[in-house]
Amino acid sequence: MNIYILISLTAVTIASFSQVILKKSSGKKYGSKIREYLNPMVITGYGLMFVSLVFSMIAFSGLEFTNVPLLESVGYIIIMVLGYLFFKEKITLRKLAGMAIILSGIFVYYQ
Amino acid sequence: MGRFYGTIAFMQENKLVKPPKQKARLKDVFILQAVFILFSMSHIAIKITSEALHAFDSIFEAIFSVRFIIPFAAALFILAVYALIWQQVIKRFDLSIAYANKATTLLWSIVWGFFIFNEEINPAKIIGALIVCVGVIIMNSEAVA
Repeated sequence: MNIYILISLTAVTIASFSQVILKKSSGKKYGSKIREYLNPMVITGYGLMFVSLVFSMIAFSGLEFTNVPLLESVGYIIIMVLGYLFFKEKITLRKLAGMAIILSGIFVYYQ
Repeated sequence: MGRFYGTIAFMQENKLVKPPKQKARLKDVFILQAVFILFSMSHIAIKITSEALHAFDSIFEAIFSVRFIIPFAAALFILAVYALIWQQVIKRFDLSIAYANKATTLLWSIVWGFFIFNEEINPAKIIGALIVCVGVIIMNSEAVA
């Protein structure tokens, strides 16, 4: 496999995990509004997003421009799986249908 | 009737019955969409920033120019506001549904590209973006229904 594709997929995976951490944090009760944002989980979440951005930039340097958004759409699938694993979010038929239509739309867009 | 609901509320509070899962309202879907319109605007600012970088002979000269600093600050500001709203909005949605809404940024990128950067629109892009919107509506119907 092309190393840049691997880097791009790593970036997407890191970004997906950062969303899980943000969602985890949003489900907690905090003493104040500021604490809702300035807490270790949110800071880690956005920190990871920054790391993912750096990986994406490296991937951009070796891939054709249009390939990167296509690879990033893998994130929708990863997040659906992580939602199931971490938050017991149901993977319903309707969600799968919506996801399939979204992904096909993205392919048409970038073709 | 009031007493009946009062009893249910009492049971829910005391965890005698499971509270119903909080459903998102249509209003929440609009907020979710608004947050991604905002997010797509950060791309406008980033594009202007990168154009400014190319407009100068040296990077050093570029990053201290007004042409760079203003859109760069705008991008940071937009992303900060986006992050603030996102943290609130994901409370009310499944993460998979909330995140899938990001796909509509494709549609907004066509709109901004056309009106701000005079980019050409091709039919494949429009059709693709519309298909994506249909998929997002189906996903959201799961959250609101």
